[in-house]
Amino acid sequence: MPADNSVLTASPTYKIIAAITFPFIIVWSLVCGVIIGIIGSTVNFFQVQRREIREEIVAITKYPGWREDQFKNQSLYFAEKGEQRARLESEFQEGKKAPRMIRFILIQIVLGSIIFYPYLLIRGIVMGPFLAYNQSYNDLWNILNSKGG
Amino acid sequence: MNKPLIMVVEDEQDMANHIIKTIEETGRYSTVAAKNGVEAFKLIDKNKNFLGLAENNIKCIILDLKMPEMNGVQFINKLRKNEGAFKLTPVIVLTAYEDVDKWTGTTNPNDGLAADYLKKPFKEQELIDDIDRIFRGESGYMIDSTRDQTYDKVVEAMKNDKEGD
Repeated sequence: MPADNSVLTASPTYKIIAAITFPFIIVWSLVCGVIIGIIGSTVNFFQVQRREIREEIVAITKYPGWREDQFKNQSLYFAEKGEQRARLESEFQEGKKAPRMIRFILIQIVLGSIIFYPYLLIRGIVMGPFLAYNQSYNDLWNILNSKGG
Repeated sequence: MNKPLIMVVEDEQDMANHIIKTIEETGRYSTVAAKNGVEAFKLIDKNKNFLGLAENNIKCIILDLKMPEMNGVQFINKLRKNEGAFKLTPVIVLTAYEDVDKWTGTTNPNDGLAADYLKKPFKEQELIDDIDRIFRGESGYMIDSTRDQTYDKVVEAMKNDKEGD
Protein backbone atom coordinates (compact mmCIF):
# COMPACT_ATOMS: atom_id res chain seq x y z
CA MET A 1 0.00 0.00 0.00
CA PRO A 2 1.18 3.53 -0.62
CA ALA A 3 2.79 5.44 2.18
CA ASP A 4 0.29 8.28 1.99
CA ASN A 5 -3.05 7.48 0.40
CA SER A 6 -4.47 10.94 0.93
CA VAL A 7 -1.97 12.50 -1.49
CA LEU A 8 -2.89 10.02 -4.20
CA THR A 9 -6.63 10.01 -3.81
CA ALA A 10 -6.76 13.80 -3.72
CA SER A 11 -5.29 14.27 -7.17
CA PRO A 12 -7.56 13.82 -10.23
CA THR A 13 -4.49 13.08 -12.41
CA TYR A 14 -3.78 9.99 -10.34
CA LYS A 15 -7.37 8.84 -10.65
CA ILE A 16 -7.18 9.14 -14.46
CA ILE A 17 -3.84 7.28 -14.60
CA ALA A 18 -5.20 4.59 -12.28
CA ALA A 19 -8.38 4.22 -14.37
CA ILE A 20 -6.37 3.87 -17.60
CA THR A 21 -3.85 1.41 -16.22
CA PHE A 22 -6.32 -0.69 -14.21
CA PRO A 23 -7.48 -2.96 -17.12
CA PHE A 24 -3.86 -3.51 -18.16
CA ILE A 25 -2.94 -4.50 -14.62
CA ILE A 26 -5.82 -6.98 -14.52
CA VAL A 27 -4.83 -8.59 -17.85
CA TRP A 28 -1.12 -8.58 -16.94
CA SER A 29 -1.85 -10.10 -13.53
CA LEU A 30 -3.96 -12.88 -15.02
CA VAL A 31 -1.54 -13.86 -17.77
CA CYS A 32 1.79 -13.31 -16.02
CA GLY A 33 0.44 -14.44 -12.66
CA VAL A 34 -0.46 -17.87 -14.02
CA ILE A 35 2.88 -18.24 -15.83
CA ILE A 36 4.93 -17.05 -12.84
CA GLY A 37 2.74 -19.21 -10.59
CA ILE A 38 3.59 -22.34 -12.62
CA ILE A 39 7.32 -21.56 -12.83
CA GLY A 40 7.55 -20.44 -9.19
CA SER A 41 5.76 -23.55 -7.92
CA THR A 42 8.00 -25.82 -9.98
CA VAL A 43 11.13 -24.08 -8.69
CA ASN A 44 9.75 -24.30 -5.15
CA PHE A 45 9.04 -28.01 -5.59
CA PHE A 46 12.67 -28.70 -6.54
CA GLN A 47 13.95 -26.46 -3.72
CA VAL A 48 11.83 -28.26 -1.13
CA GLN A 49 12.76 -31.71 -2.47
CA ARG A 50 16.47 -30.88 -2.47
CA ARG A 51 16.31 -29.44 1.06
CA GLU A 52 14.26 -32.33 2.47
CA ILE A 53 16.55 -34.97 0.97
CA ARG A 54 19.69 -33.18 2.14
CA GLU A 55 18.28 -32.76 5.67
CA GLU A 56 17.31 -36.42 5.71
CA ILE A 57 20.79 -37.52 4.69
CA VAL A 58 22.29 -35.33 7.43
CA ALA A 59 19.81 -36.75 9.97
CA ILE A 60 20.61 -40.35 8.99
CA THR A 61 24.35 -39.84 9.14
CA LYS A 62 24.64 -37.52 12.15
CA TYR A 63 21.50 -37.88 14.26
CA PRO A 64 20.00 -41.37 13.70
CA GLY A 65 18.36 -41.49 17.15
CA TRP A 66 16.67 -38.13 16.66
CA ARG A 67 15.50 -39.19 13.19
CA GLU A 68 13.83 -42.31 14.59
CA ASP A 69 12.10 -40.22 17.27
CA GLN A 70 10.94 -37.73 14.64
CA PHE A 71 9.57 -40.51 12.46
CA LYS A 72 7.72 -42.07 15.38
CA ASN A 73 6.28 -38.77 16.62
CA GLN A 74 5.19 -37.66 13.15
CA SER A 75 3.64 -41.03 12.31
CA LEU A 76 1.65 -41.03 15.54
CA TYR A 77 0.70 -37.36 15.12
CA PHE A 78 -0.76 -37.94 11.66
CA ALA A 79 -2.38 -41.25 12.52
CA GLU A 80 -6.09 -41.21 13.22
CA LYS A 81 -7.16 -42.10 16.73
CA GLY A 82 -8.44 -45.56 17.65
CA GLU A 83 -7.52 -48.68 15.73
CA GLN A 84 -4.96 -47.11 13.38
CA ARG A 85 -3.08 -45.42 16.20
CA ALA A 86 -3.10 -48.55 18.37
CA ARG A 87 -1.76 -50.60 15.44
CA LEU A 88 1.00 -48.06 14.82
CA GLU A 89 1.94 -47.97 18.48
CA SER A 90 2.26 -51.74 18.62
CA GLU A 91 4.34 -51.68 15.41
CA PHE A 92 6.74 -49.22 17.02
CA GLN A 93 6.92 -51.40 20.13
CA GLU A 94 7.84 -54.33 17.91
CA GLY A 95 10.70 -52.27 16.48
CA LYS A 96 9.31 -50.48 13.40
CA LYS A 97 12.03 -48.19 12.01
CA ALA A 98 12.10 -45.12 9.80
CA PRO A 99 12.66 -45.85 6.08
CA ARG A 100 16.28 -46.30 5.01
CA MET A 101 17.99 -43.57 3.01
CA ILE A 102 17.41 -44.86 -0.53
CA ARG A 103 13.86 -45.87 0.31
CA PHE A 104 13.19 -42.47 1.87
CA ILE A 105 14.54 -40.64 -1.20
CA LEU A 106 12.40 -42.78 -3.53
CA ILE A 107 9.30 -42.22 -1.38
CA GLN A 108 10.07 -38.51 -1.23
CA ILE A 109 10.43 -38.20 -5.01
CA VAL A 110 7.45 -40.41 -5.93
CA LEU A 111 5.02 -39.06 -3.33
CA GLY A 112 6.29 -35.54 -3.91
CA SER A 113 5.64 -35.80 -7.63
CA ILE A 114 2.19 -37.36 -7.21
CA ILE A 115 0.81 -35.34 -4.31
CA PHE A 116 3.01 -32.40 -3.37
CA TYR A 117 3.84 -31.05 -6.82
CA PRO A 118 0.22 -30.93 -8.08
CA TYR A 119 -0.76 -29.19 -4.85
CA LEU A 120 1.95 -26.57 -5.29
CA LEU A 121 1.06 -26.18 -8.96
CA ILE A 122 -2.63 -25.57 -8.30
CA ARG A 123 -1.78 -23.19 -5.48
CA GLY A 124 0.63 -21.33 -7.78
CA ILE A 125 -1.92 -21.05 -10.59
CA VAL A 126 -4.59 -19.75 -8.19
CA MET A 127 -2.35 -17.49 -6.10
CA GLY A 128 -0.17 -16.23 -8.97
CA PRO A 129 -2.67 -13.75 -10.44
CA PHE A 130 -3.56 -12.35 -6.99
CA LEU A 131 0.09 -11.95 -6.05
CA ALA A 132 0.90 -10.41 -9.44
CA TYR A 133 -2.02 -7.99 -9.08
CA ASN A 134 -0.95 -7.02 -5.59
CA GLN A 135 2.63 -6.51 -6.71
CA SER A 136 1.77 -4.42 -9.77
CA TYR A 137 -0.82 -2.38 -7.84
CA ASN A 138 1.80 -1.56 -5.19
CA ASP A 139 4.40 -0.78 -7.85
CA LEU A 140 1.99 1.59 -9.61
CA TRP A 141 1.17 3.43 -6.38
CA ASN A 142 4.85 3.72 -5.55
CA ILE A 143 5.62 5.10 -9.02
CA LEU A 144 2.76 7.60 -8.84
CA ASN A 145 3.77 8.56 -5.33
CA SER A 146 7.41 9.12 -6.27
CA LYS A 147 6.43 11.17 -9.37
CA GLY A 148 4.09 13.21 -7.27
CA GLY A 149 6.79 13.42 -4.67
CA MET B 1 27.86 -18.68 -7.69
CA ASN B 2 26.12 -16.27 -5.29
CA LYS B 3 26.89 -16.58 -1.61
CA PRO B 4 23.92 -17.41 0.63
CA LEU B 5 22.32 -14.26 2.00
CA ILE B 6 21.96 -13.76 5.76
CA MET B 7 19.85 -10.98 7.27
CA VAL B 8 21.03 -9.36 10.50
CA VAL B 9 18.17 -7.75 12.42
CA GLU B 10 19.74 -5.56 15.09
CA ASP B 11 19.02 -1.98 16.19
CA GLU B 12 22.42 -1.21 17.71
CA GLN B 13 24.69 -0.15 14.88
CA ASP B 14 27.97 -1.23 16.54
CA MET B 15 26.63 -4.69 17.34
CA ALA B 16 25.16 -5.04 13.84
CA ASN B 17 28.52 -4.12 12.30
CA HIS B 18 30.28 -6.62 14.54
CA ILE B 19 27.91 -9.43 13.55
CA ILE B 20 28.16 -8.55 9.86
CA LYS B 21 31.96 -8.41 10.03
CA THR B 22 32.07 -11.79 11.79
CA ILE B 23 29.86 -13.40 9.16
CA GLU B 24 31.46 -11.80 6.10
CA GLU B 25 35.01 -12.56 7.27
CA THR B 26 34.32 -16.24 6.61
CA GLY B 27 34.00 -15.40 2.92
CA ARG B 28 31.15 -17.89 2.59
CA TYR B 29 28.14 -15.66 3.20
CA SER B 30 26.84 -12.24 2.27
CA THR B 31 24.67 -10.11 4.55
CA VAL B 32 21.92 -7.50 4.64
CA ALA B 33 20.94 -5.55 7.73
CA ALA B 34 17.67 -4.29 9.20
CA LYS B 35 17.21 -2.11 12.26
CA ASN B 36 13.90 -3.60 13.41
CA GLY B 37 11.19 -6.08 12.51
CA VAL B 38 9.34 -3.72 10.18
CA GLU B 39 12.48 -3.04 8.16
CA ALA B 40 13.27 -6.76 8.14
CA PHE B 41 9.91 -7.58 6.55
CA LYS B 42 10.55 -4.97 3.88
CA LEU B 43 13.86 -6.68 3.09
CA ILE B 44 12.19 -10.09 2.98
CA ASP B 45 9.65 -8.65 0.56
CA LYS B 46 12.40 -7.14 -1.56
CA ASN B 47 14.26 -10.46 -1.75
CA LYS B 48 11.35 -12.70 -2.69
CA ASN B 49 11.42 -14.83 -5.82
CA PHE B 50 8.56 -15.61 -8.21
CA LEU B 51 6.11 -13.37 -6.32
CA GLY B 52 7.01 -15.14 -3.09
CA LEU B 53 6.03 -18.60 -4.40
CA ALA B 54 9.63 -19.88 -4.40
CA GLU B 55 12.18 -19.65 -1.61
CA ASN B 56 13.38 -16.22 -0.52
CA ASN B 57 16.95 -15.05 -1.24
CA ILE B 58 17.40 -14.56 2.50
CA LYS B 59 18.36 -18.00 3.75
CA CYS B 60 19.03 -17.29 7.42
CA ILE B 61 18.17 -14.57 9.96
CA ILE B 62 20.21 -13.39 12.95
CA LEU B 63 17.72 -11.75 15.28
CA ASP B 64 18.01 -9.40 18.23
CA LEU B 65 15.01 -9.29 20.55
CA LYS B 66 14.97 -5.79 21.99
CA MET B 67 14.19 -3.47 19.09
CA PRO B 68 11.94 -0.47 18.47
CA GLU B 69 8.69 -0.66 16.42
CA MET B 70 8.57 -4.46 16.17
CA ASN B 71 10.61 -6.52 18.60
CA GLY B 72 12.25 -9.87 17.90
CA VAL B 73 9.51 -12.06 19.38
CA GLN B 74 6.80 -10.22 17.41
CA PHE B 75 8.97 -10.52 14.30
CA ILE B 76 9.57 -14.27 14.54
CA ASN B 77 5.90 -14.97 15.37
CA LYS B 78 4.73 -12.94 12.36
CA LEU B 79 7.37 -14.53 10.14
CA ARG B 80 6.16 -18.04 10.99
CA LYS B 81 2.54 -17.06 10.39
CA ASN B 82 3.42 -15.68 6.95
CA GLU B 83 5.54 -18.65 5.95
CA GLY B 84 3.99 -21.71 4.39
CA ALA B 85 4.54 -25.13 5.92
CA PHE B 86 7.32 -25.84 3.45
CA LYS B 87 9.29 -22.63 3.92
CA LEU B 88 10.97 -22.32 7.26
CA THR B 89 13.66 -19.66 7.33
CA PRO B 90 16.19 -20.58 10.03
CA VAL B 91 16.44 -17.92 12.75
CA ILE B 92 19.27 -17.58 15.27
CA VAL B 93 18.27 -15.43 18.24
CA LEU B 94 21.14 -13.32 19.54
CA THR B 95 20.21 -11.35 22.60
CA ALA B 96 21.09 -10.17 26.07
CA TYR B 97 17.52 -10.97 27.15
CA GLU B 98 17.04 -14.05 29.32
CA ASP B 99 13.49 -14.59 30.53
CA VAL B 100 10.74 -17.16 30.21
CA ASP B 101 8.54 -15.11 27.87
CA LYS B 102 11.35 -14.59 25.38
CA TRP B 103 12.44 -18.24 25.49
CA THR B 104 8.97 -19.58 24.90
CA GLY B 105 8.09 -16.85 22.38
CA THR B 106 11.04 -17.64 20.14
CA THR B 107 11.31 -21.41 20.47
CA ASN B 108 7.72 -22.65 20.77
CA PRO B 109 6.76 -25.24 18.12
CA ASN B 110 3.93 -23.18 16.61
CA ASP B 111 5.26 -19.75 15.80
CA GLY B 112 8.75 -19.66 17.28
CA LEU B 113 11.05 -22.40 16.02
CA ALA B 114 14.34 -20.56 16.49
CA ALA B 115 17.34 -22.67 15.48
CA ASP B 116 19.46 -21.41 18.37
CA TYR B 117 19.32 -18.91 21.22
CA LEU B 118 22.71 -17.26 21.75
CA LYS B 119 23.44 -14.88 24.57
CA LYS B 120 25.28 -11.57 24.13
CA PRO B 121 28.19 -11.03 24.32
CA PHE B 122 28.44 -13.90 21.86
CA LYS B 123 31.41 -16.00 20.86
CA GLU B 124 32.16 -15.38 17.19
CA GLN B 125 33.02 -19.00 16.51
CA GLU B 126 29.77 -20.16 18.11
CA LEU B 127 27.75 -17.97 15.74
CA ILE B 128 29.69 -19.14 12.69
CA ASP B 129 29.33 -22.78 13.75
CA ASP B 130 25.57 -22.30 14.04
CA ILE B 131 25.33 -20.72 10.60
CA ASP B 132 27.50 -23.46 9.07
CA ARG B 133 25.30 -26.13 10.63
CA ILE B 134 22.19 -24.49 9.23
CA PHE B 135 23.64 -24.45 5.72
CA ARG B 136 24.73 -28.07 6.10
CA GLY B 137 21.06 -28.99 6.60
CA GLU B 138 20.99 -29.42 10.38
CA SER B 139 18.37 -26.78 11.15
CA GLY B 140 15.63 -29.34 11.94
CA TYR B 141 17.78 -30.94 14.61
CA MET B 142 18.88 -27.53 15.92
CA ILE B 143 15.29 -26.32 16.28
CA ASP B 144 14.34 -29.42 18.25
CA SER B 145 17.33 -29.36 20.56
CA THR B 146 17.00 -25.61 21.19
CA ARG B 147 13.33 -26.09 22.06
CA ASP B 148 14.24 -28.91 24.48
CA GLN B 149 16.98 -26.81 26.08
CA THR B 150 14.75 -23.80 26.55
CA TYR B 151 11.97 -26.03 27.89
CA ASP B 152 14.40 -27.25 30.55
CA LYS B 153 15.37 -23.65 31.33
CA VAL B 154 11.72 -22.63 31.62
CA VAL B 155 10.97 -25.51 34.00
CA GLU B 156 14.00 -24.59 36.11
CA ALA B 157 13.01 -20.90 36.18
CA MET B 158 9.48 -21.82 37.27
CA LYS B 159 10.86 -24.06 40.00
CA ASN B 160 13.08 -21.23 41.23
CA ASP B 161 10.11 -18.86 41.19
CA LYS B 162 8.06 -21.27 43.32
CA GLU B 163 10.90 -21.71 45.75
CA GLY B 164 11.25 -17.91 45.94
CA ASP B 165 7.58 -17.59 46.83
